[in-house]
Amino acid sequence: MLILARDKDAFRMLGRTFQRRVVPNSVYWGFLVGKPEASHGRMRMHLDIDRGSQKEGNAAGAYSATPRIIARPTPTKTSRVAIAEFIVNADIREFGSFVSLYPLSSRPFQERIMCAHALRCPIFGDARFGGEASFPDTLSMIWNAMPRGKRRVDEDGGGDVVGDLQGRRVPLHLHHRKIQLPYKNARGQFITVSAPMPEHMKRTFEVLGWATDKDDPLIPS
Amino acid sequence: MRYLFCLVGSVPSLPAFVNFLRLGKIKMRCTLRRLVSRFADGAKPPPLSPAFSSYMSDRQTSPAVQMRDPHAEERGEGRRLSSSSDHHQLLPQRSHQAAKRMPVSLAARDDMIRQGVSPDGLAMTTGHHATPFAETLITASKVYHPVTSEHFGTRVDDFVQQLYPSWDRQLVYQLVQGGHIYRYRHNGKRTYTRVTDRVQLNELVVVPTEEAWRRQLNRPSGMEILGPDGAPIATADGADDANNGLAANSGKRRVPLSTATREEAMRWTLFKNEHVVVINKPSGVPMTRNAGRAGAYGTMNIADRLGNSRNLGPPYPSTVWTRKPAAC
Repeated sequence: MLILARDKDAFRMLGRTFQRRVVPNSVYWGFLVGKPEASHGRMRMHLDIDRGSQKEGNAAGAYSATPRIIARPTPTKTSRVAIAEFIVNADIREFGSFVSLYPLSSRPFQERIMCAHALRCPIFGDARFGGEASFPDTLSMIWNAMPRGKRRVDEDGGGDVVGDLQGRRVPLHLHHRKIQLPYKNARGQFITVSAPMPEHMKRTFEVLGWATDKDDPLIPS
Repeated sequence: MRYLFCLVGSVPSLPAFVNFLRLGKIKMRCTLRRLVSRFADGAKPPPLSPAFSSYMSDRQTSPAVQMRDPHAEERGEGRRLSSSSDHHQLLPQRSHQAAKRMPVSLAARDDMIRQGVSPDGLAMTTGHHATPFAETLITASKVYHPVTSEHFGTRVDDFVQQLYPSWDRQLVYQLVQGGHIYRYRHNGKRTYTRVTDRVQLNELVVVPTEEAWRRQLNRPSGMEILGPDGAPIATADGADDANNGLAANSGKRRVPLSTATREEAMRWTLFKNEHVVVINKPSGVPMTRNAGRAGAYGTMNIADRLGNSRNLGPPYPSTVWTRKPAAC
């Protein structure tokens, strides 16, 4: 889901939406490899994000799309806190789980980092932060069903667009399901926008027998 | 009974208590008389601003806010007022000077002066669309409709459609969405509105005249003029190009996107209003162009689709970016 501000005022107002907040205003759905120990909880990590600079030969400019991130359990002078709440909606024993993530901060890749390093359950298809563990053999019945394409090797080891490890093409199973906008409709309620589940996640959920069109009650619409 | 006697016994005497009450009444009367005589003896009341005093005098003499006897019609004493001339026949006439003074805010006056119209020398309409409404100000390109007590609380599109029944709802929506129909609040501030907003008392709803939006708004916000191949073309006079922020930084050739790309962009759109556009970005599409990395969607990226790079046109139909869009 991508939100485009149409003018300067809307941009400023949306910027406040993405600051650190107490009540979550968006939800991500993820299919994790493994099952978290707790059924619900709050995660807090301190991320050092180094985007590099143009002097260091970064062709993309001052802000790189693939920053170098160090996740710590304690804060440092340069770290930024990342907080998110999670609820385990469904699971397939210890092999996989369907988790709702409610971020309370806006750090790049925070959901993927938290799942991989705080929950110890990387998101399925997350080659960048989960590595080999994101493509377990126990879920081969799922990634074998994925359409195979031409094998591609990423030079920078990214692979975050399409997971590609040992020829397994599994897209990232993370979905920004719902967001509450800071605007109200005619009835005085906040506008919420829900995005339909992408095809690869829908296919996985249908294989596992999970619903794909449920509304999230914790983000009121 | 013993307690009652104790209570009575605690008062010094009953006649004295009655006298105490009478004195209190006299004291209150004296205070009121002093307050009234302060203004009746020629002492100046607290100063009011000239705009407020003229506004209040207009309100007191305006036929639209006169108190009506609900049973007068049943008694046959009066009839429903159907035009402004009827108002003037039945109600006390206002002086000519007072009729020219309208409750126009300073911002509205500035707006009128900018258009070359004197705010004090405005023509009062007695036309068809002003019949059930209060006096309406007409300038060269805009009509200022004050909201009276009869119509406050109605939606903006209903209010405009009562004024102009020939305009369909889609046109009203486009004019409101494009900011051509807006409101001046009672505090004098201009407010861009939505069709679902309710008009409030003593504010102005500004509507462009039909000639104006036919002449100037050939392409109101939300509409595009498409050529035979489906690509947007500029108008001959280029008036709307000046309003279009993307065309403002012209000098580069505008490359229209293909129809398939536009259809795909349309499918991605989840929500759109006057503030934001929410699109369902596929996870494989990068935000910016990746050199040497062809993803699942080829070389497609968001920046090119938004027209941020190479000055491409906006991919989203029914969307004319007034500014360069910013991804949040």
